[in-house]
Amino acid sequence: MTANETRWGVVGHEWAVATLSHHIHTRRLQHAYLLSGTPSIGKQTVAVAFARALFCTKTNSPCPSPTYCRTCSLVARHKHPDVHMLSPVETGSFINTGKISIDAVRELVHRLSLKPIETNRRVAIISNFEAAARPAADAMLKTLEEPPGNTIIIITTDNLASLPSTIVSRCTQLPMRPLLCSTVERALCENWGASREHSATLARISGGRLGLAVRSLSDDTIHENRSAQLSGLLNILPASRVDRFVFAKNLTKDREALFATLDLWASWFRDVMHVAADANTPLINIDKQTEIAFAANQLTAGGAARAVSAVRTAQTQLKRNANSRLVIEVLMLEIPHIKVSHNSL
Amino acid sequence: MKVSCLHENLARGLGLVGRAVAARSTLPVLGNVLLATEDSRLRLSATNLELGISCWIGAKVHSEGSTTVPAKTFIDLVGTLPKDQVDLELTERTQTLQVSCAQFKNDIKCIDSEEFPILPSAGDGQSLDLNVRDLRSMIGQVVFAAATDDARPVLTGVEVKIDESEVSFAAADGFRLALCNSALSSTNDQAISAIVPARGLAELSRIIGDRDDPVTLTLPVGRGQAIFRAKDIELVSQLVEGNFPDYQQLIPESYSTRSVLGTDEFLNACRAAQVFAREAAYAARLKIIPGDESDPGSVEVSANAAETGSNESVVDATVEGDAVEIGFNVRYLTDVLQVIDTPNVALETNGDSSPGVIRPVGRDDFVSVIMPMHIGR
Repeated sequence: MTANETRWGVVGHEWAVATLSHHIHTRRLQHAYLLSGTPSIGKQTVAVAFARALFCTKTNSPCPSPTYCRTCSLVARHKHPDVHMLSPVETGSFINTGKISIDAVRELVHRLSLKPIETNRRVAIISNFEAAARPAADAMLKTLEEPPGNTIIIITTDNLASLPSTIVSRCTQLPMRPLLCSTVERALCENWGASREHSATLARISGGRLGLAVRSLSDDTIHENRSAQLSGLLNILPASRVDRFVFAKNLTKDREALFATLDLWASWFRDVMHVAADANTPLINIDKQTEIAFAANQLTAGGAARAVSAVRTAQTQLKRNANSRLVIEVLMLEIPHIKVSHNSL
Repeated sequence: MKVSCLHENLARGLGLVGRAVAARSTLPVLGNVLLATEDSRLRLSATNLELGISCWIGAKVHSEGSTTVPAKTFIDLVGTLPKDQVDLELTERTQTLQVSCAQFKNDIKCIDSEEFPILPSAGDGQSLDLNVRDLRSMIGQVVFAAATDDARPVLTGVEVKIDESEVSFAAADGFRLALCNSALSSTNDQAISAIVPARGLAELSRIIGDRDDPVTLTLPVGRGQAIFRAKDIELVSQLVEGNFPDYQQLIPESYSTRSVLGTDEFLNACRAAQVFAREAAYAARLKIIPGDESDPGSVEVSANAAETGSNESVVDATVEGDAVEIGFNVRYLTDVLQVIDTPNVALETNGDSSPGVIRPVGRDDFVSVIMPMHIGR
């Protein structure tokens, strides 16, 4: 473990933690920070740790877990009166169907206009700000540009590109990357008490998203969903067009899950592409090695790459609110027709 | 914690603090009332992080402790209990409060009092005694002018300014200003200035209602709060962050026309105009006609709306200066006329595009400035 891990209780993200910590120590805090990056990599964790660092009564760095002081414990449990959490209501797993309403933003703006209650500043942590509709984001602009008093606003987003540029330009940006697989693996082993083998698999499958890996530890449905989604793909690969269209019809019933399914499919084809190209890179879907190898024998790297981009195109179209049934049917025509050795049904 | 108190006291205390309970909040503990033993009394506190109310009731403390009870459950329950002694006993480990009264026995699930925001105590910081009657009338005279939207947060507050011998309250919403002063009963050595949310002051005026004992205002050092404390009740209001606009420069120093009207007659004329003006953005037209030797002059208040109709009423007035025709938002006029308690009121104007000033005649402790409206001819 590096010094940062022990000091802030954050796994990885050394650069972000070091930057924020430096801002605190040199008293050069910015009024707004924007943490961006893939879902479930720990943006919120960093934001909350930063809030603890700002407020912890002991020193400028927060108490080590689990011996929290009262302030740290309140912040960590999102119950501190000077830390305002705003997140989309009804947060889904990957794709956030929840929305940040304009009323919630206005309420936050009002709260921030009052002097802090227990400490010398207020902190607002707004998660997944891309879930705010344009009017709600606009309601935040004035406060974001010039927050009252010592207020610090921390915004996290999964999708930097979908934030209005007016929001982005008002914040100090901290882009965050997925964690290294080895970091996730070690953290799962040491901090969450998972077995070494399980940790290794989860670290790969999660693609550096520690949050996801930790959730899969306790929630079996994540693993089950993933298996179902992958076997769905394996089933349709050798299937006829008619069967594929029937499958498309069923698949599009749940638009929310659809997006996650496509993510998984893209990662599967990515693995196939790597194997087909004889690249010596680690696989993401490490538990499906045999199927991947078999498929890679029938496809060129280029063919797999086309499949990846077909899936990505479908995702883009879905994001733009295209008719999901049509999008998936088109995708079904593009996905290569190959045999899979192992019948998972 | 084990405490016994009278049902009557508990119900009264809950009635007071209940106003500060947050109806729906992201922090569950804000929907609770803090119960804590303090110097052989029971303290009840509630806060919505903007406004906190505490009240102390007489109780027999068997053992010290504290917890927070869900406000709605507790208030509803206490409402149904007979007028008898109420015993409260907390099981620390499970945070369960047993409320027993006569033959009723109830267990309420509570939240640990550690989670409750720390309300400051009036012990430290500069403090000042205020006369309760002055305070109530001053609050009434300015709160209506505070802004209700959050476009400019400082304007949702009332600026409370205290210098050596005087306290002044000012509120403005960008279109009108109300300012009132009052002499201090005791001298004060340090000037105080703070912006208190209008909502908090309105609540204060309600809870100090019919009391006579003085209210102590404390501004704790380094905390953004104002504490108003009466005998066994305390209201903590979060202050608004920012600087209040310099309103002194908004009050015109001179006037070209000064009209003195009967407050009630003027108010009635405005109310009648408001019936029609409602449909026309509340615009009312005031035609001020100066008098001559035989006639002191008059002010004609009129409003018209294309769909509703029109209205015109003439109020006798003593007018000095030039004739002028000026438009005002009639709601602003009725709001300020309602809080003026002198029989006559003076309206000072400087032409049809400058702000109008309203002052009670015979007192110089209140002034209100209203921006004119543009009226077509």
